[in-house]
Amino acid sequence: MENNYHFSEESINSSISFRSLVNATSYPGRHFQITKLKKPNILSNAAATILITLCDNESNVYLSKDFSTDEVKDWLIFNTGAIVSDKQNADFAVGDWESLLPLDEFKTGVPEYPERSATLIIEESNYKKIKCNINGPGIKDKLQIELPNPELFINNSHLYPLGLDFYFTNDLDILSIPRSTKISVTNSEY
Amino acid sequence: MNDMSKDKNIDIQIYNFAYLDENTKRMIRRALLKALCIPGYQVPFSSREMPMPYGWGTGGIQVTSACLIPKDVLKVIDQGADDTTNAVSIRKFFQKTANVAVTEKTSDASLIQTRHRIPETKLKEQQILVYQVPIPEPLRFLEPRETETRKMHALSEYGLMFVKLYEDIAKHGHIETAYAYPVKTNGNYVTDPSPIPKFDNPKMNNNPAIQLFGAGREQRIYAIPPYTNVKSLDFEDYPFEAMKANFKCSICGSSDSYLDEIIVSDDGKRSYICSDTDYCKEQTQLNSKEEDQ
Amino acid sequence: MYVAVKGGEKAIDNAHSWMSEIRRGDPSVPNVSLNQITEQLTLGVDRVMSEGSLYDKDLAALAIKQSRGDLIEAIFLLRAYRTTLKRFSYSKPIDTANMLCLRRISATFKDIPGGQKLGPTFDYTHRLLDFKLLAENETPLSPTQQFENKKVPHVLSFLNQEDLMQKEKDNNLDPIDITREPISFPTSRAARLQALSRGDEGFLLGLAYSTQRGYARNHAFVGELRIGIVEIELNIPELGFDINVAEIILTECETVNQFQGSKIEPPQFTRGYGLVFGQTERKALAMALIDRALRWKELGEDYSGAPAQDEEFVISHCDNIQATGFLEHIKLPHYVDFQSELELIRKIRADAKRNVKRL
Repeated sequence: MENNYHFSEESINSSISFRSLVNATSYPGRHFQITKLKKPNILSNAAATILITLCDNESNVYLSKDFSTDEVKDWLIFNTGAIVSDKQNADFAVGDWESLLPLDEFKTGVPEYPERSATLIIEESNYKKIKCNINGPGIKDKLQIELPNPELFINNSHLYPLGLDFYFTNDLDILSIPRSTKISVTNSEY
Repeated sequence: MNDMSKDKNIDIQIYNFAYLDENTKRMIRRALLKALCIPGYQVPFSSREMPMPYGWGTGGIQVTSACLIPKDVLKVIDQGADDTTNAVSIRKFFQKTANVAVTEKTSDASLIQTRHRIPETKLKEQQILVYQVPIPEPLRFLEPRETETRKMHALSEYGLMFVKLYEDIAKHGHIETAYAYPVKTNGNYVTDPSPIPKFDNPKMNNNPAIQLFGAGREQRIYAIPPYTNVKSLDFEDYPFEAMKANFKCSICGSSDSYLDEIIVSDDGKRSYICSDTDYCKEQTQLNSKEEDQ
Repeated sequence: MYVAVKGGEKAIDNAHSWMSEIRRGDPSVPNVSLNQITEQLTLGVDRVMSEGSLYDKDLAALAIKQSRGDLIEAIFLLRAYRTTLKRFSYSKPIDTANMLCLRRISATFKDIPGGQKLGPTFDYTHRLLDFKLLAENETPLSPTQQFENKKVPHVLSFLNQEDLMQKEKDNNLDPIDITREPISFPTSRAARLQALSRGDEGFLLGLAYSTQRGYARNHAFVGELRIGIVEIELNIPELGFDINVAEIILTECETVNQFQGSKIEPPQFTRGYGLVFGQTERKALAMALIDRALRWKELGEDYSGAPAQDEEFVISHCDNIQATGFLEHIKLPHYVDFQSELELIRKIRADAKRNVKRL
């Protein structure tokens, strides 16, 4: 078919990134891959991709301590126009697991508008990983994954349909745990 | 006046991949992801005017536009058919604005936009089915006010819906809803499946594909993730029953696909054919292969 | 064997080319030019700009030409184009007190500082078809007068001096932009006014009329109706000062309405407000009446159940692009749904027949 269009690279890249996010969110607990982009060193490609694909000047972004650098802020504002905010108002939050705790300061939505809640982007770090079974929407039967502090995820899923939605990011890898996912601990040591 | 086209950039190249600008896509994409996290919940989004009228699938078109990638293979159906006028028009729109490959084959498509049907061929993981939705609120015809229906969803207060269904049974011995038959998604939100015949309802349940719903005029997006429990509302003593014309397709002979009734002669003689044109073609081919053997 | 009808694509192409031919009409008649439309069908252009939410006379004229004079279709074309435009910045609020008035009337005071100015109006014309216009060479001229390049104060400001007029309070919040954020109910007056300003003239007219006939009656005096030119200013942070980026024509209407007082407010006059692109006075008047009717809650008045008081009803149905789209979509095929209804009704009738036989 004849094509008179020259598509902008930005629009092509964002579409491909978003499809990975759709897949990750649709199939919780599975790993999906994202492509490389130019970003501050401290941010993973996956975390940077989420921010750049979803944030604009209406988005409040919380950067936890190690991530709250001028380099990250400048990069974020230049590329998205997002507003760097505190925890309470954050639509998105980025950090390693420990630095995002406690979770209860993030907004979890209200019964009329449960979507007015924060999305947490958790960067890979040396947190204690505990084996869990997960099931729920997007999961065929059940899956086994590793989570930090499973009790916090269990509490979160009890808030359903309110709650927080999580993306775990590690270099090019992304895995989602939305609020709809039910978690149980398999490991007896826990 | 002659230089107006230069002035206003009416030049065709101004459009982004898949038409919508990046800011609009971001807003829709955020809504889509929240919708996937809260299955069946209607997320408000600031729908844009599209170059086709509200009611012509602008919600579905915006969702498709936000999801489409260059290597997608797109299928568009209306009433189950690829060759209905509006399906043709939407398919052309995306060929023009996204230059994506198109197909009529359900199994070859990576993204399917539909109005009023779910394909007969089973969908697969990572396929996306985008529904065009006219009225996303299943309670709307019982309670016209958004302020009220929003409260009902927040409180899971669905008594009104069950009363309506029950009254139908009391009056007619049947539930008087043949299409847009309400479902409960993930045991929580009562959801409008869009005006598909209730024959299609069971296909929504535990489907490996990603089901996204866009209502442009009403400014709502919702989703049913893969492998999600979707249950048509019913009563223990009046269980939900999928329904279709009790005939065989006069083209492919299929008796398990949804049929359209057509009038074939001036004296009103009826015939029945598959509403899903791709499925019908496939069955016909299978039949001829069998004959050959 | 029956074969399903194919050829949707061809049918669409043919329909479009036929429509283009019909749009052009008799080729021996000269093509209508855009400046003929912008110069001679001004009020149509203004309506298309206001409901299309895009101030651009040339594009509005193009839309009118393309839509064969169907103004709602033209509004739709403009809206669809508008959404594709990049948003650089928000202008500073317009100050209508600085308007250069082409027309300015008050029904509440006989004489006002700055004077009444009738301007170009149909008001006192005798509605007799003017067969002189059949001749295509007429060039009417009006007596020339120096255009007074002077601001005139708002008439309602004089009532403000006595505290007789309820003051509008600035809540210091940025108003929502209804084209970027979906409206949720209850909504703000700012959001309502935006929706009304781009709402369908006919719908607003009918609703406003209903308030005059007793459905949420609240007698409105036209405190002031002014039409004129205002400047649009943009603050450019990099420059450190404001620049004038455009001049546009607006119609503003402020009504003075009785108010008996309530538990929360003393008796006072209150305001209904209308502000619309272009010379669009029927629309601005209607908008002001509806704005006032919708303020019942804020003023502690009774809700009489009138349509014009019902925010969700008014705002959800005033947009003609939404309305016409959904209304007209019933022309699209509904074979599948209709088939399911056919099956259901046959089933119910068969059951009913069986039951009758059993009796």
